[in-house]
Amino acid sequence: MKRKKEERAVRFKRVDDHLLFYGLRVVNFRPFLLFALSFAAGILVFYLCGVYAFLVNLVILPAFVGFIFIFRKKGRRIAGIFLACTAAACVLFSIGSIAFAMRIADFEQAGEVSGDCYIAGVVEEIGRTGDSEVYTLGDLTLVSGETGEIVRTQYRLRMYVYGGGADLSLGMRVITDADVTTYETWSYGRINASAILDKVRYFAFSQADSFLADGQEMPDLFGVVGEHLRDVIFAGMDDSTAALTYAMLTGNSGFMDEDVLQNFRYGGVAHIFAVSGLHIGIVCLLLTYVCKKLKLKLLIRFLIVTAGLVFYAGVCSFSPSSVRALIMCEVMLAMKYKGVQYDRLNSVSIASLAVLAINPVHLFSVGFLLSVSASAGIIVLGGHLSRNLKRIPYMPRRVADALGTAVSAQICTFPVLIDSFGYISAISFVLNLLFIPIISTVYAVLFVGCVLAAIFPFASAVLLFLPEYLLRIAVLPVMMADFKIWLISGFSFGGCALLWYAGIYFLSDKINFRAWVKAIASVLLSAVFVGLMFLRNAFFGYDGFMTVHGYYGSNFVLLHEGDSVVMICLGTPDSEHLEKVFLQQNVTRIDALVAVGTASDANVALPVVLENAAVEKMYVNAESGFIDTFQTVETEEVRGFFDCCGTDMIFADAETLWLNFGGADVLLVNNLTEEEKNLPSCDLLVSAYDGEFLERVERKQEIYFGKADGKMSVYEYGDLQIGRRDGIISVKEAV
Amino acid sequence: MREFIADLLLLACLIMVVAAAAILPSVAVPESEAVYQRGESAIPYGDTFDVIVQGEGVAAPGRYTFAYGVTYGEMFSVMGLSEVPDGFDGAARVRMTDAVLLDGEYVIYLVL
Repeated sequence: MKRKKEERAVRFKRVDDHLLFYGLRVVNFRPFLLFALSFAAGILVFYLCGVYAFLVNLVILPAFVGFIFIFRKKGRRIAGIFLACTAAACVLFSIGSIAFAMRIADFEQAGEVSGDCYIAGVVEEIGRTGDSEVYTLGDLTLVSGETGEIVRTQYRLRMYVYGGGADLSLGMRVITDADVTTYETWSYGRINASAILDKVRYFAFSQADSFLADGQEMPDLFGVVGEHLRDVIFAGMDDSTAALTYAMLTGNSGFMDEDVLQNFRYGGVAHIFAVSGLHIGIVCLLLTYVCKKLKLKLLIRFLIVTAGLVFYAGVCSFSPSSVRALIMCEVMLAMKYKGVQYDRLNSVSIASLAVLAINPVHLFSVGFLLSVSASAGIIVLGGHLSRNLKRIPYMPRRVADALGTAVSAQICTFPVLIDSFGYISAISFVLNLLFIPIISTVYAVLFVGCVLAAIFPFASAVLLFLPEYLLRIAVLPVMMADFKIWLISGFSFGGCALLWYAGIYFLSDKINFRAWVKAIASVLLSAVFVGLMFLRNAFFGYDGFMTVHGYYGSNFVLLHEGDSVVMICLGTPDSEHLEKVFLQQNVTRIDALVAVGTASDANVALPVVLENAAVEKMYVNAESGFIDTFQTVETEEVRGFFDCCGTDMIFADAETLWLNFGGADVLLVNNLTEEEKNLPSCDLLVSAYDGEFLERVERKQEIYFGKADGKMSVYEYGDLQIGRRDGIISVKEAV
Repeated sequence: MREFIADLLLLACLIMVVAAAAILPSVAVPESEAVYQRGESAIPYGDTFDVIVQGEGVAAPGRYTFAYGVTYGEMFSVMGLSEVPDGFDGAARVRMTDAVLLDGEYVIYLVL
């Protein structure tokens, strides 16, 4: 009798009776998530370690032993699945590594040219920046003016034309000559992902009247449609609204005013100009609605919607965000058509794997990272947050859903935004909550209006009247407000981002640990995370430090001594570059600006710096011939030694500055000419010039701003941090 | 068992499709070096400066070497001056104001 009672007790044991987790297992296995992560890991590890990445397979291989254990304990089928998935992970890891290595090799194999070249190519893309037209030439032939070397390549050249009036059209074969520069795979401390992804190997600057037309090729269909759409929109709307509309519909924000676009970025809502889930979802809904009204069969409906979405993604140049959203949408439609349950996490994994398989370099593209982190964040965290918010008394369901979605997207894009742009908007959460629902409706109206206008261009003004009006009202608050004051900046995540995402996944409802286990683990994880972030971002332990920044001719040094910040400008800084660095370094005030360069460099530098920070005082070389026309900033022309915020400095020559960095001699050179007198020796040379006249300068260490083979340079390693302590100067990459 | 083999075949097909999409478009001999470049260096620096002092008021004229951060009071004391000359703040750090370029090095030159 007693034995039967025991048997009954065992048979009716509760399923969720484990000490550490609920349910039958800690996490539900999602094979596509494993495959996508393995592929991405293969790319990342090869990027960091090269061919040694394949050694990681040796770490995974011991896991095969685990299948023997499972085989004996849990049954053959589970052991077989375990073995198959481990093998698949290994193989996909290796494929990711090989594919990435081959893409890089393919890019670097395209001939390297520099200097004046004869150029012949076909116009494949037309765009615009703030002050130039941009033509992308394909089917390229380059002839070097110096060596006569001929390069024929399928890689493309980006031509920046200033002054306007080139009037080139898609498909036009053109001939010109210009000073060509080759994009490197690696520059300024990061992989040149956009150049590799766009297959643009070269760039050049030219004048509008330097082109000769040499025939016409059949242009790309998507390009023709995009151009027609642009013409129709600009014909039916005023220029600024047309630029906004075109950017929202195609993801091409090149025609927008840079200040307007930047304000959207500061507000954290610039993602409306990246065609992704929001846009693809609305287009899918519209097409499905039309097909339903026409009472089409399910299969025909599926094919028409698919064709429409693929065509739309093509018009958007198959950007990573549009492809990701397209694949997710297609997976959902296919599952619906098949009557199979749709799992969103597997869906985003399939989409990510597909995009990375198309080109592994996408892993380093900001667009791809933002797109995947936002969508995965909403999937992993959004539902969990929404359900918890709904428990709050009187919380409307829709508000809880919207809040959960907005917060989860914000949390998961945080590291990518900070590391890529140097800032994140504190008001982004509120703006996204209020603005996105409105802009979604406006987008639907815009899409329908623009499609009709493209079909009936003669009626574009009438068809676009209402969409234009709605868009103007919807974006008015964003256009009028200044969101720069709401920015959070001054630190970066780096490798700690992996810990951040691991923590988010651990805390989500995808992991079935009990609450107390999650609480303890969260505290430990948070402590480790905070510690690592502090070590990464706090530059402590040094008596003084300076940071060296450069980007294609925009070269400057920030000297931090105590509370004061001194900026030493070599040549003329670029405003965008300056803004990014100032946000990353949390610089709002410059105690002293020292202009190392010609008088004209100094005249240009000060206004550019003033756009981004307050300047107390400026020092220029008295021999440069500088004419002081600035009323708001005190300017001092100096001869000999001068005290700059406690640091002794002297203009050793016309475009050379020597300073005493807490006992270390530092020489900063913008340019040297033949007539220079003797220059002082130094412990550290920081130079924008890399010519023969530098050979006579004695130095222990040298840093260059531009490309300098075999030497330390900002071009190679990105921005650099120089600290001094106990008689040692340490140089490393800036965070 | 049949289902399992079918799943395995499907998995193999998926991997082949991914491999084809990732590798075929750009068939080039793969790179072996890592793309990521790390830059770091450390160098010692001479934390000293030279002072040449001359003049009637100086008991021991000549060339001296001092550590960075030394005050005028400490410097003149080493040079044998009983008090800090006019125009110098004894408690202030020695500055390079009176330095000249001598054999590629900035040396403070004082005539007292």
